[in-house]
Amino acid sequence: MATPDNKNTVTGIGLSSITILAFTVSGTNRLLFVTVGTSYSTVALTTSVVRDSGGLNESCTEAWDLTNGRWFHSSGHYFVAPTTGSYAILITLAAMQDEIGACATSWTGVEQATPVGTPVTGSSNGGSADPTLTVSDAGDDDVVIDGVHVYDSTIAAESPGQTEQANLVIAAAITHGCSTQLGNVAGDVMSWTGGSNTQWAAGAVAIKPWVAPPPPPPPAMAAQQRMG
Amino acid sequence: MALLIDHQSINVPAGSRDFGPVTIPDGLAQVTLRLARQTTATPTFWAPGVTVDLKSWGSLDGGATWQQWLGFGASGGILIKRDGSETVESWVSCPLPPGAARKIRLTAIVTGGTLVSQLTVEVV
Repeated sequence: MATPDNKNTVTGIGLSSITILAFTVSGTNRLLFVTVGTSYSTVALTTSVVRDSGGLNESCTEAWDLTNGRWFHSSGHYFVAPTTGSYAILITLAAMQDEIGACATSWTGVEQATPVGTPVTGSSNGGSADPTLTVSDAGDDDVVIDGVHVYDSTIAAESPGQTEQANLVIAAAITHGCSTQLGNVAGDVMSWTGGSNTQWAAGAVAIKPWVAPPPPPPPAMAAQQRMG
Repeated sequence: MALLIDHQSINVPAGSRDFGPVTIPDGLAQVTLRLARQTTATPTFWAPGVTVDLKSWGSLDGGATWQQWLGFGASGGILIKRDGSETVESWVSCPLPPGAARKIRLTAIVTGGTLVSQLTVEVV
């Protein structure tokens, strides 16, 4: 199972880029995962997320990026085997945005060749349904991570076993949330409850665990295998 | 709460300008950097076409070593919010690493004209 290593968050208003303060990444079979939420512009978010821009230039891969078609955006980004040490993360947005929230988490014990499963996204442009996503390809030892950007000032992770990594109230009634849950808990449902939730955009994906390769057979058995 | 820089008037031609370093009081855990925007009430502030890349660096050892902290990029002009009101300030905020000898310094990199604004650095 992937294990959380470290994290940091950032919020802002009236920006076209935002930088997350440097935090230390360590361990083996590492993964960096960053969730971003914004509101304001009707254009797609299309962020770039780069750790140590101008130095290491570790440019993250986009897992998801969606808008609810009106004001709210959610995106998720990851980088495999980030360099150990402490570096800031630059998030560049497609246009000036209003309320912005982001959560960066680092992980160890992650499968390096195929670190994440198939992303799931959802959004609402009205109504009152809570942000809810089901990550159906999550295995028992996976960790599901989600990012939500909600028109609500009081949200809480709702599913049993769901751990809040961030619950950032950015401005009146705008919140960015990030949470994680062990695979196959609560049917792999990631859900946030709140007061109104009239608009939201969210995404989620399973982080795959590193599995040790099987040890080589003992010498005697290997010899037998060679002899057929 | 402490205002390390309190609505300091700034006038920065295209180029860069450094601010600080300033000492962060012990025990405070969140920092916010603010730049006043152009609004109907402040028409001379941060004109359209002027972009700012505000970077900060932090030290946990009294200024002996530094690492990059929070920051933002933004362009000027009046920014209308969803509710029709004007955005008064562009700002960024994040938790601070703990420590007893913390300092912060800033660099504003300006392009497209002169940045006229007010800078605030707040910790809580």
